[in-house]
Amino acid sequence: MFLGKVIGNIVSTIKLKDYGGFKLLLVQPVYPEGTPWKDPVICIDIVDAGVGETVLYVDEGNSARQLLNLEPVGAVRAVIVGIVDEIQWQGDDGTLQSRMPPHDS
Amino acid sequence: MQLARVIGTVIASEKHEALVGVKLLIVQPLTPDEKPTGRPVIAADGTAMAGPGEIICMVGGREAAMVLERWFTPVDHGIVGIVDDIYVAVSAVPE
Repeated sequence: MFLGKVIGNIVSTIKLKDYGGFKLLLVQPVYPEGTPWKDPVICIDIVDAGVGETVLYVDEGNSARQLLNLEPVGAVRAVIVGIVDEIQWQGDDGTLQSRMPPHDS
Repeated sequence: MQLARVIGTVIASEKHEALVGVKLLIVQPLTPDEKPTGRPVIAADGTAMAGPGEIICMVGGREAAMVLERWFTPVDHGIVGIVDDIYVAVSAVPE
């Protein structure tokens, strides 16, 4: 699983039926301290996350298919599975740091 | 899934039998502000409706082949949807 920040959403009318009824959000993958580390990914949202929130997402097909009950075949991969309340991590200086991401922007 | 723009089509007469009838498109991966990122790739069109100039949503890896009817197929990028709108909250984008 990865940490990400929801930065927007995607609207798509013509899509595979695997995606029918799901909300698509743009998620910027971030380090624990909140800085980006790669290009944003599009995730299916099953936890009602919103723009500005820090979330937990999986980027792995088998997990995604299990979550969306699409087994054995579904062309899905990135799914938001949690909304983050608090993050604790070991900083460069070895001390334990923490932050509580805001629940809206 | 990633955003990408369709920039061309590929025609191959000689190909793996599982790819017969599959539309192959050249797509350029994009950032949400529609700037190119990385190299263009060839994607199988699962919607069968995407065309040059359109922004699409694609999936990579093993899931790519699952956009096709025959899903045990040698494909590594697949188009799953055609994008109508992209909304980015500028205030939410981290530095």
